[in-house]
Parts: sequence; structure tokens; C-alpha cells
Amino acid sequence: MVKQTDPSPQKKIEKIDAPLMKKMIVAATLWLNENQAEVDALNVFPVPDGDTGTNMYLTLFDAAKEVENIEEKEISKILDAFANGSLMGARGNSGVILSQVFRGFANGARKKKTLDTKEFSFALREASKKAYKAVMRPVEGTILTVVREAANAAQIEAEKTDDMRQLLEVTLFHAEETLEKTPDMLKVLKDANVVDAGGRGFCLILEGYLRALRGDSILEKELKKVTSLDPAKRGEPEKLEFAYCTEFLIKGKDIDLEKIRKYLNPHGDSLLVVGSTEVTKVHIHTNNPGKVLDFAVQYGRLSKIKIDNMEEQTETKYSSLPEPENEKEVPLEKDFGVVAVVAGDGLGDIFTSLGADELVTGGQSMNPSTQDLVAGCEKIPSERIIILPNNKNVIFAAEQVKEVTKKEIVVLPTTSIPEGIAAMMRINPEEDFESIIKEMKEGLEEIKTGEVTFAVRDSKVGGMDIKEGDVIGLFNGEIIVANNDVSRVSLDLLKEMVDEDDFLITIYRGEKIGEEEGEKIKEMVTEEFPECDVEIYPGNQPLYYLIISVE
Amino acid sequence: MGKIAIVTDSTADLTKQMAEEYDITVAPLSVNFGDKSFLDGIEISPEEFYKKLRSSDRLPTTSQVSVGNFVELYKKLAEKVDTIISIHISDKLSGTYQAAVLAAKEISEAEIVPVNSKTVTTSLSFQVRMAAEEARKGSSKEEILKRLEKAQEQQKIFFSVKTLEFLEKGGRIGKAQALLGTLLNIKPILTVDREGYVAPLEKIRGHKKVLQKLAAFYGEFIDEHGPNCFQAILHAAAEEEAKGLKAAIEEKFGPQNIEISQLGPVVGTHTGPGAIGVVLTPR
Repeated sequence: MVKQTDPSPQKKIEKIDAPLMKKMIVAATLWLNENQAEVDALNVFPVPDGDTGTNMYLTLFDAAKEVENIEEKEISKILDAFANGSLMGARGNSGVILSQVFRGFANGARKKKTLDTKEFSFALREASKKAYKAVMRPVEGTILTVVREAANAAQIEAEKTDDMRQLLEVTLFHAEETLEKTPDMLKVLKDANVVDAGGRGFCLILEGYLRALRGDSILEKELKKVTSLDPAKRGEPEKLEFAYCTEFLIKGKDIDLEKIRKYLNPHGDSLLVVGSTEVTKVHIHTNNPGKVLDFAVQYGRLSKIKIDNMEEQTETKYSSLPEPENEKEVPLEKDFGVVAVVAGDGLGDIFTSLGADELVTGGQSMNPSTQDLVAGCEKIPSERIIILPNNKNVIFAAEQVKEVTKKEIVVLPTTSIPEGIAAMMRINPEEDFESIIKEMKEGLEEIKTGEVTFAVRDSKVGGMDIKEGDVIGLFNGEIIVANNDVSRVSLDLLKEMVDEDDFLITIYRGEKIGEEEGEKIKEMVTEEFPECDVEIYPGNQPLYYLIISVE
Repeated sequence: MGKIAIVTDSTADLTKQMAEEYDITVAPLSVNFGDKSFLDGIEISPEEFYKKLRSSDRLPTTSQVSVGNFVELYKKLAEKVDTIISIHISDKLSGTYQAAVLAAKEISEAEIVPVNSKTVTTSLSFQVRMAAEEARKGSSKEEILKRLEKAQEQQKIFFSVKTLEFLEKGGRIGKAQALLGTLLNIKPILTVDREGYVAPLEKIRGHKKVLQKLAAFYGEFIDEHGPNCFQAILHAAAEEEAKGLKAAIEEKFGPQNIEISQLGPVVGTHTGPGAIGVVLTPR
């Protein structure tokens, strides 16, 4: 009998048991981490965006952490925990598909104590099926194809061998062969001269498994090592630092918004001070709402005071000040809540001021995980939550929230910040939930999105030779202009976007564009498009110089 | 059959000429700059008001018509007529209608019928003119009230203000309160709803989009009710823009019989300058 937990290159491995599976998972995670940058570089568009390598690695990382914590003797239990972890950790479309692969694999291994070659290949077949089912319009030349072909190869090989190592070697070989063919199946890959990034990620996972079976040096790193890795700024489900969401209006004269902002800033986070010098809205998460109110009252009459204990997720209304027209009973539960995925504090403030209840950081720079989105949804005292992903690579992960929460989740498929804002503009709380959703959907369809950012690598797109670092302009997600100057690109981009039915151009400037430069761009755009109103707001988003909407 | 007189208040923003032509008695509200009070439309014209508003560092306030004013006015009219139909600004926007109701109880010389128009400005004037037309034709009180009721069901007012501050300050913001304190430059299209409250209809960004939307609302209304409507473009010291909107509407929907009407001092106090809107009531 072979001692399976101590595989050596010489011995045949007939069965994978629970401890070995754990080692394989760790190895796959470490191996993907080693090669993350290479996968990231396979991005088809040279746009700084949620990168596939990073997304897959972070998904795997969260999944591996789940496995670390259990001492199960049955492989099915390990795989179950792994699948659940990957679902919660899923980031980006590639992460979500990966989580479906693991779910399918776990389903295929249900009630198994160990896996032999036949059982492993059966589970892989289930994984492939599950992944295909999860995608609404499966596209060949992606990770789906690679998984399916790997499963096919495994099935054939399992008839010939009872050695797991042999099985995985053949499976990996076929997966890589399929990967090499992905550019022939998908034109965008061919144009960009790359193989599919998700498919590559999957091959790396198989390779990690195999390395674990071979007992490669990578195995010597402990599982703890995995969890000590610090994936950049990830959204750990944290304990609330500030417990009370405090919100009110100040009605007065010559209210100094800047002064209020400065004073309140150290008293909490998510601070928002907006409005006019006569009516100012204040929103802050703080541990001392009394102090905040005390300070604010010197500027005028306070009204619409609302203090929520976010830890209790209940809502209490304090009518400490006489405000006869506001004496209506406020229900303990909100009728519905909104979670918006946003990067940049300026954009965050805009979403909050339009009525978003929770912001989840992410978008272009870093795709939030399903877990991050779940946490946002759970914080809102309402049973019905609308999620605005505001990025095409977040929509899928947002859909997964439905699998893990009891709340009713509606994902509005907003693919950009302007679409999210347009949807928020349509919310009329007087209407019923279904009408609101319908209105929001209409809103997001009526807006055109432009983005100005920089190329992360050399590439050829639509006949343009783009060099790394070039300023590029995207219209509804497609690169249509490239140049070396932000204002030049903005104007050229807008010329493509604006037609005669448009009346409003809104520019959200990123963290790299100062107020002065922003004003200059605004002036230029106003001059070029006299028939449109032009507005500019500080979005402070990373990576994207400008986000532009035309409507 | 007895004679019927029609009374309204100055928030109908009737021109003097129109009031004379239709034989309508107008009870003036007041607008106050500091401790100085002016009778709306009598002691201060819209032009004078907007000029004063620009130079005044304090915002004006307004006062409703008092019960005493109404009693006096009704008594005088009662010498000549048997019935007075007194049509007034929405009771959700002013106490004027309530004052008329109280005054009516003091009068025995004639039958006084106070009517809550559930609207204001030119939309109110449409009701008043309809009533005057009917009275002139010799219609009965019941017939007139029936027509007013129908007008109240069908009338629409769409308007936009430069800033919500004036509505907020004057306490007339109603259901549009929710729009206060948003970070984006939102120009809501407001309406006076069926109950007579100011209510937001749609949130719009960008002034040019507001004008486009107002024209679209106009088109929707004409589609539903046909072109035989009282129709006007309202503005507060924004005549050029009102003319532009009229031109845009006529370009889109063909020449229309659209009045251009300036918001008077009392209504203007609550909208602020720059307000623009469209009012329609089927005839």
C-alpha cells in the first residue's frame, strides 16, 4: 500500500485523499501566485482593469483559506469547503467561472472519501458542465474550452491508467495544447496575439496539482505561507470601526462647508458634507453622533436627523428637535437598499448623495469579491438590495451574491460609473420596487460612457499602434482614440460620442487631474460643443484620467 | 337666474388686461421685503419685483389674503350678484383658500362658493378663465363647478427652478425635499400634484436637458388630450428662454397657441428667478 500523504516521484499514486488534496490546493494557489503577472499580461485590451491573473489568484486564495481551517478525513468535505470559499472569494468574470468549476468538481466528488483516476475525471467532467451552465452565452476559446478539453483528455486517460500523476500529466498536456489553440477560436485573442488568460490560469492550477503529486519543492511551503501572503489591499470582512451612520440637514445662513468637513473628518469615516451655504447635508459614520450634532447645531437648525447603529442593522429615528413636517413614522426597515461598486472618494460621495446605502471599493483598479459585495448587502437594514456593479467584470460576481444571501438581490448590469449614476438618477422612492428597477434600467440605457486612461502595454487595436503609456480614449468600452495628451484624446473621443440629440456632457476627473487642469478641459469642451451643457466633478478615481458621460 | 361673479387671487398671475376682459375680481396677496409690504400686482409689478429681488440681500416673504379682505370684497360684489365663485391657489401652498372659506361664512347677502384649484399661477388662471367664460354664457353654478372639477383632474404643470433654495426657504418644497443636498447639479422637473403639493416628477441634469424634457412633456400631453388646450410657458424673469422654448415646441409640434406668462411676485418669491415651465389644461 502506497503511503499517499508522502508522495515521492517513484511511487504510483492511486488515490488522492483529503490531506493530499489540501496540499494540491495549496500548491495550485502558490503556483498561480508565482505566475500571476504573466497571466495579467495576457489581458486582451491594454486597459488598466481588473486583471485576470490577480482575480483568479485572489479567488483561489480565499478558497484555500477555507480549506486550511478544516481537519476533514473525507475529500468531499475538503472540496466542498474549497468550492464555497471560492464562491465567496470570486472576483471578476474569471474568478466566478473558476468558482463554478470548483463547485462542479465538488459536486462530482460528492460523498467520496478519496478520488481515483476515474473518479477524478468524472469530477472534472462535472466541473466543465457546471461552468458552461453558469455562463449565459458560452464562448469557445476561453477557460470553458480549456476545462472541457482537459476533462475529455482525463476521461480517456482514466481508462488507461490508475496513476493519478499520469492522469494529471496527460490532462495538463491536453489543457495546454487547447490553450495554444484559443487564438484560433477567438479573434480578439488573435488580434492581441495572446492566449486566453482564464485558460492559462486554469492550466496553472492543474500544474500546481501535478507539482503537489510530484512532490516538487513548491510543496515545502506550508499552507500558512499562503495565508501570510498579503494580496494588495484586499477587502477583509472587517469589524466596523465606526458604528453609527449619522445623517442630517443643517438649515442656516453662510454655512462654511469646508470648515465642517475639516472639523468632522477626524470624527469618523465616509464623511460627506454637501449642499449649499443655506441647506447642507451631512453624512458620517462615527462613534459619537452626539458630538457631531453638537458641533453642527451652531451652524443652524438641524433637521431630518437619522442615526443608525450599523452593527444592529436597525434604524432608529431621533426626533430630538421639533420638526413638525417631519414627524412621519420611519419604518425600522428600508424598503430597499443600494450597493454601488465605486473607486474614488469623489465618485463615492456622488453615489452616496444620490442615495446609495453602501459603497464597495473596486471597479477598474481592483474587482471586489462576491464576499465584499455580500458584506455590503448585509450591512443595509433592508431585505431587498439593488447592486450596481458599474463594471462589466463585476456583474458576474454580483450575480453570485444571490447564492449566499437570503435577501432579494437585483443586479442592475451597469458597466460603467456613468451608467450607475444614470440609474441612480431614476430612483423615485414614491414608486413601487418593480417600477423603480424598470426606471433604473431605462436610465442606464440612455447614457453613453467615455473613459480616458493609459495603455498598460504595447498593442494594436483597430488599426492603431498603441504604445505602453499612451493616453487612450474608450467609447462604451472600445478603444477608439490614442494619443499622448489627455485633452486631445478627450476632444477626439467626445467628437465620436456626441450627436445632435445630446445636451449634457459630464466629466468626472480622476485623482491625477487637478482642479485647474479639469477646468481647462471643461472650457475646451464647452467651446467645442456649444450646444451642450458641460459639467465637471472631482471623481478622484484611480487609473482613469477622466470618466465622461454624454446624454 | 341670478348673476355669477368670478373671484380669484393674485397668484393666478392674470394680467390686468385679462382680468378686465373676463370681468374677474382679483384679491391680492402681499410680498414683503423686510418690513415693507407690497400688494401683489397692484403696488408691485413682476418687473419691479425681479429687479428688487436682484438688489435685495434678504429674500422676500409673502402673506396670504386675509379673511377681512375677502369679507370686504365679497360684500361689495354681493350688491351686484347672487353667486360668487371664488377660485384660489392650492390650499397646500397658501392659506388663501382657507381665508376665503372662513370669509364665505360671514356673508349672507350672496352665495359664496370657494374653490380649491389645487394649482397655482397660469394653471389657476385657466380655471378662472373657464369659469368666467361659462358665467358669461349664462351657465349655472353647477355647470361651472363641474367644468372646474374636470380641469382639476386634467390640468398639468411642469416646471423647473434654478435652485431649490427658494422653495425650501418659503416652505413650499413639499415632496421635492428629498432632492436637497445632492452633489450633482440636479435640475428636477417639478409639478403640482393632484393634492396640490409641489412634487418632483423627474430628476434632470443640465439646463438644456430641462428644456428638452419640458418640450417632451408638452408633446405627451398634447398626444393624450389633443391640441385644444389652454397652454402657456411660464417663466420667472427668463423671457428669452421662454421664447426659445416656445420656438422649440412649435418647431417640433407645429404652430401652437401658446401664451408666454411671467410668474408674478408672490409665486416668484417661492420659485426664485430663472424658473421655467409649461402648463396645460384641456378646454
